[in-house]
Amino acid sequence: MGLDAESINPMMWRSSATELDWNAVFAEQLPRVYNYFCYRVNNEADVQELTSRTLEKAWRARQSYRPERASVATWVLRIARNVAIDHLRLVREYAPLEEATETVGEDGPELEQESASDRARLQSLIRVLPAREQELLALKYGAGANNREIAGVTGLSESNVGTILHRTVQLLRDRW
Amino acid sequence: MDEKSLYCLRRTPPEEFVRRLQASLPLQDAPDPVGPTRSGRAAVAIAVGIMVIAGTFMVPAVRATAQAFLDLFRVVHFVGVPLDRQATERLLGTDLDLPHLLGEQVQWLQKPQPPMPYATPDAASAAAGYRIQLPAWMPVGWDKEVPSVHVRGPTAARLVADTERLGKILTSLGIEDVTLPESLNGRSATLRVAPTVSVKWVHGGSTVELLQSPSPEVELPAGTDLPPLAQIGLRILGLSRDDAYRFAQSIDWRTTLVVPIPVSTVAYSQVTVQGGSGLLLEQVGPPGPRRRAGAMVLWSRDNRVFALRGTLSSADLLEMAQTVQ
Repeated sequence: MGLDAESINPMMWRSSATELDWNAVFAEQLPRVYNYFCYRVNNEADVQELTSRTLEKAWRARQSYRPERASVATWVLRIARNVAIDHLRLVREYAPLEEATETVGEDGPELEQESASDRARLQSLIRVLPAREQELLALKYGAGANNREIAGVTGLSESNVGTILHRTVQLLRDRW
Repeated sequence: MDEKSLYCLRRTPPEEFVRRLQASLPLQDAPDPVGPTRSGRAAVAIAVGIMVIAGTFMVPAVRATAQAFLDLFRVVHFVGVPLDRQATERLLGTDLDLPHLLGEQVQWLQKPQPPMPYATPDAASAAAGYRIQLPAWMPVGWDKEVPSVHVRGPTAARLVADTERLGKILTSLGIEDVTLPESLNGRSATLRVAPTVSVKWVHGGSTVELLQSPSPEVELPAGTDLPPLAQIGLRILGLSRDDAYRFAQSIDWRTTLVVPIPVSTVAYSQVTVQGGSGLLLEQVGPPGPRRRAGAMVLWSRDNRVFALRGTLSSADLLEMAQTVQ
């Protein structure tokens, strides 16, 4: 995979081509990772736990990051994906699925009620999708990744990502 | 559904969480030399605890060893066995695929099924076949109303002992001074786990979960000399020869469930729950950004085993445990 615009973003680099500007990485990637997990697990405690785990792993592996292999976003999202896989496997094997829905909003009461209802609805629709489709939605709408980044994270081809997402969104709209 | 709806699960990370996470990262600059991460080890600790009640042979690495060799087993007592960091890494390391090695000797009689959600405790009780017990007391601010109940169906598995394979495991772990009795070869232990019920509450960023199940049962042909076999299991868990011997001789293996505890991440102590003995497990380590401090109480009463775990203080968890009825 070649370089993309983000991997050569000078904001991501400090003094040399091998030293990450961690503050920039943290500021840019944390919201993406956090929102990726908002689409993968249902409660806030798990979202924070898994986000922490991902950023800790990235922090500790920061010196082994190689820009020629992947953009920073792809690298961090790959870590997040592996963290999610480990977590979901553990949940599946040892603990009941979590159904609790906890949401945070800043809208007024009516809007908040409406959007809370939308969130619960979307969550329930996503939960019954196959794992791959859930993951692509989380990367697209949670992490805000483009199809090329998603392809880099998942190993699927870019066109395949586009096709699956199109089909999945259509399915969600039908069921909405 | 419009495009905006697809983004409706997005939200801004809480500032306090971001601040704590950012502050904690430099503290972790010294990477773990080997083995699983801190989070991984914590997960293992939780998993080990859950195995007690969820009763699975899925990861039999630490569970089957100490208790799969009983002629009739019911949980009355819980006893912790310290598993040091080296032992944890050795058991979970990639060089020795213990779950796989032992897993090949497991025959499922009734495979584990995914947990099923139920709308009310009564519905879950009906599905589980017994009346669910609930805490009469919750910490301040928590709603006693049950928001989430799941029931996992019964499970049964048979483990057939293969002394050759067991010998390989012992050798791989560097245990050379154990002689496996030939009579063990081909003998089987059958584990039966009744339906397990999970009730979960969420408040703010914290969760608490109560798991309960009738005591799992393990059957073996009668007349098995249990302490020597338990001693082998304890050696696999990392106890020295002398410690394993003393421990094996001091335990009533028909009523005691041994819980291996990775002591580098989990502290444990015996506690009294509703007049009986219980085990309190608490995550240890420097404060981090996670809200999950993690503690668990295990106890047994009237042939039922309970695990109460969550991100509450251990005092609150114990208080809750005392009121489960």
